[in-house]
Amino acid sequence: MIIASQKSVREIADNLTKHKRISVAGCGTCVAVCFAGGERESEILASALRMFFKLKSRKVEIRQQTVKRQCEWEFIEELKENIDWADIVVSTACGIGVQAVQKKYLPKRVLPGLNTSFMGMPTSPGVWKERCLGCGDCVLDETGGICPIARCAKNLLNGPCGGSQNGKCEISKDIDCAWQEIYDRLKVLGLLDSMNEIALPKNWSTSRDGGPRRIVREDVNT
Amino acid sequence: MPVFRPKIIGYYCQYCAYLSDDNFGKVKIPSNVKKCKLLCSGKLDILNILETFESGIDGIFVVGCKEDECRNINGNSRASRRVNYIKKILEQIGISSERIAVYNIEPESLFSNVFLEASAEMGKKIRGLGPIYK
Repeated sequence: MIIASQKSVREIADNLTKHKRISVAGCGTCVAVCFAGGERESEILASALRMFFKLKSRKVEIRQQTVKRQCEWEFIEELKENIDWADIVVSTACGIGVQAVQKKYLPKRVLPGLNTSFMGMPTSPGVWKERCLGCGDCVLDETGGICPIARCAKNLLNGPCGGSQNGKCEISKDIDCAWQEIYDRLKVLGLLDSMNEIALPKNWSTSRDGGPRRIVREDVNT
Repeated sequence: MPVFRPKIIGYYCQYCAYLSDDNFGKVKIPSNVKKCKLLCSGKLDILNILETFESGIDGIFVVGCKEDECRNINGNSRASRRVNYIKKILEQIGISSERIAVYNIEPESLFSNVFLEASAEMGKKIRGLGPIYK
């Protein structure tokens, strides 16, 4: 899922200097699961903003609404009433949701309430780690299900660099060396021989190097 | 000028801080402190606390079990971490984080005065800070 973290309430509030009616729009999918922008988190933001304006003796009305997800037109249609009512919108969706809501409700202004960070998963309660970079050319079949593109700082494809020490990456002792993990995993899978196979240079045109990407499915396309 | 009498809510874990309304009857809690029982301090809810501050409550304290002695294993440490999160939000919007505090006591301290002491200490602190909204 997409992992995001909350912006400081102050940073958001500083962009709401002239507005009297604010709509806080939550998203009930990825950012709800990572406790950044779901229903509760957007309610918390709305409450904090109300307090902020009360302290400044400013009369500001704030409405909060959360939809199932903000990255599809059908779902953000439900926000119409509250967005039409508001002077400005704060979306606690990921960057995709913010862009979708902004496009749908032009010329109303939509501000991001989160910093969208990466595609990952929770590894323990309150800890999320990056797992996929969306390179568009998956190599997990060759690496025992551990992604060297997302989890190796140098995106290496042919084993660890000299900075791998005691299973840790030279960047930080808190970061596991992806290639150590791959080696250990291949051992468990009985596929250690595949470490001897040379991976050829990767085709990065499927990644960001090819510019913004799109996928077209003719069988789904209307 | 009227004396500022802060409005305070004291949340307490049912297993330690105190234990029954009868017990509260034995100690005189200041009338400006409203007591609110929690099944465990880990039941403390961030949104609920923020909305309480939003409604004009000047200070909040939570009395939970001592570290590593929570009846529900880690409810007290969860409460502390949630209070730290609330403190962070309060600071971001310009409210002193001193307006919320956690007190920890021995579980089963049925006749402990911690709630009473916390009421007095928070009362003094919040009087110094003044009302949450001027």
